[in-house]
Amino acid sequence: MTNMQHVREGESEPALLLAEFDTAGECLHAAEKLRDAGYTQFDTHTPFPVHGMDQAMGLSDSKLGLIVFPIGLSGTALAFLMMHWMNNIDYPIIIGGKPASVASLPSMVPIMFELTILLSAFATVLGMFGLNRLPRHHHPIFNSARFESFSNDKFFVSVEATDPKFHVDKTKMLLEDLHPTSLEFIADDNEGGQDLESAAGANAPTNATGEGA
Amino acid sequence: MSVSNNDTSNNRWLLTGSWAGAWKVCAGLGVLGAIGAVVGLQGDSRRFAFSWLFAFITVLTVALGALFFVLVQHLTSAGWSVTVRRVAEVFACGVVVMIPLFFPVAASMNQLFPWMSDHSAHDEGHPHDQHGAAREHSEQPGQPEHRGALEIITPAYAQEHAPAGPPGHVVPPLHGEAGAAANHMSSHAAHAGLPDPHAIEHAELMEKKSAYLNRSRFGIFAAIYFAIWTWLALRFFRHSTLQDTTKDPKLTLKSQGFAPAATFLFALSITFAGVDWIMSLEPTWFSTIFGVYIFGGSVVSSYALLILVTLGLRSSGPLSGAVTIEHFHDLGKLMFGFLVFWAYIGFSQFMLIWYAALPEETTFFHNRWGHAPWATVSIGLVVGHFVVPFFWTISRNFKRNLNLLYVGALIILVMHVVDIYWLVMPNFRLGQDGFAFHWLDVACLLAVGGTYGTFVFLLMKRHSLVPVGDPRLERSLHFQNA
Repeated sequence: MTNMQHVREGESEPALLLAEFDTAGECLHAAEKLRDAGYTQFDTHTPFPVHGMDQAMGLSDSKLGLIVFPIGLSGTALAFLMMHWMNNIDYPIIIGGKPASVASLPSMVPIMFELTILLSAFATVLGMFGLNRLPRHHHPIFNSARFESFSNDKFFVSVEATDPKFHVDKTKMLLEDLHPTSLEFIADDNEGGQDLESAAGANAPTNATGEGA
Repeated sequence: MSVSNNDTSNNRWLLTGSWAGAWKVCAGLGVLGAIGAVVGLQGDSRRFAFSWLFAFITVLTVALGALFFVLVQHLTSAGWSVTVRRVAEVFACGVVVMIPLFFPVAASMNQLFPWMSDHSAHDEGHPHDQHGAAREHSEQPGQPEHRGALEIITPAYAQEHAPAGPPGHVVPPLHGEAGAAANHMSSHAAHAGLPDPHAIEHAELMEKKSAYLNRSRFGIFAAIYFAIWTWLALRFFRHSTLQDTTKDPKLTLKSQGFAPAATFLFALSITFAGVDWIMSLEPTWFSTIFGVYIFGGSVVSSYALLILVTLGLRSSGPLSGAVTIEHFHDLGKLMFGFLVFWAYIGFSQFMLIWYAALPEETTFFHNRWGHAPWATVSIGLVVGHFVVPFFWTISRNFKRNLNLLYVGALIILVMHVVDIYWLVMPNFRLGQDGFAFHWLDVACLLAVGGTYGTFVFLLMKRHSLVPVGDPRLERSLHFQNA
């Protein structure tokens, strides 16, 4: 690496480039620039949802629906099979004068409905965790002291070094053209991960950092 | 399309282009339908009464759904919906023209409602006989009939009236209805000398209900319903149109302050109207969720119509730029939500009645299952009013594809007509087979719908199609789903 001078003192190569803006509009504009330049692995961090940010970042529609829908439907089917097997096959029983057959479908519908909802809810939460690669204990972006104000009054754009288009100089120039109030390279010192590892004790020394950036 | 702050003049969104003549089409269809209805009235006045009631309720529920939409937007102080609100306000105002359209219903009360004092004069209704048939059939063999204090019922009589079928076979309440009427008639013939216990019981029940089900109460309540709806619709409409010129934001606050009380009035009036005008067609039957069912169908059909008309107004010009795909996405979400609500309420009503299998409650579904062709219509309603549109409109991509959304809304609106038909028309030949579609049904629907459409589209020409004075207009124009 030839650009070690950009990296914070005494640390390894940068994990990401962080730009700070004062307004949501500038942040949105930066996202559009990065999108148009072909970047894919970047993110924006704002104190409130900025309308139009999805399009500005070039994000496609959430894939969550494709996960939730089939799992929800399998909940419907599972509930039907469960009720049918229990009430009509394994231990046929007449309740309220209703035949122990599929003709008693109306009495199964509430369970089918509930299990659809239950499995859909599970699929939504777990699918969201999976798609976002959560839980994740540490990210190098938290090494920046300025970054804390993303939840207060500042707007940030971060570009991951793993982005195929990422180049220490070119990316820096691209963002500098947008006149951020601050621009810094952040290195992954694995600090947080190591803290967690030591906190967890000797029992769980492996993989506490989750996946790398 | 970008709209600057000072570009929201009053004549930006006027009804021009091909939709400016929409009222003429409606008027033409209305006149055609009215001629048909008058001709049909001469031929079969009883059929006319039912067809007209069906048409009246169908259109009225759509108008009331629009009123609900306006109410909810003010109740929630919604900014996104400002550009589509005016169209809904006009549709809600259409409730005014439903008042004269109610007169044929009032005039044919004797033909429609069995609880009217001279209901026994019906030539083919026989409502109490048919209640008896369905009730008797739904009871399980071997169980004593619960006839209350009617001592004329002896065990022997009850046995003779037990439904035909293999002993021990449990008859599911919704199956095997065939032959019930025949069985009933023959046993009546055998007891020609005795007074009909069902008739006695029916008379007693009607006597008890007469405190509510009587002509004067019916008339007074109908006047109250129309007064409430007209007042609410016109008040919201007047505030909104006044704001077009004055740009006074206080009018928005006024409408919002009025909305909570209006919601109570709306909920009570649509519930009671549903009971009065539809449920009392079969006065011995009752369902406490019936008003909610009417409300659900009313709202979902109104969203469908709002989507269809707004799409039309957008593609032909007047609303282009004002209503975006984001608004349609949200309208689609609301339509989908209320579609599920309708199904939820409809199923809740069905399942409790099915599970308890109380004779006086099951008659409603017997009449819509055991007699041709109503079982087909019932299945069609479940599939067409829920299953198909549910899967059609569940996806985000489908709601944001305006052609697909159009088809979904069209399906729902058509199925709403079927839903009201299914509620009203089985009472024409209650508990009898052989109901057939009649051209009068279409004629009346054209007459009522055409009149309503003429009024609505003429009213649309008089004001901007977008409430240009609303302080949240800019927000709505640039509204985006996050």
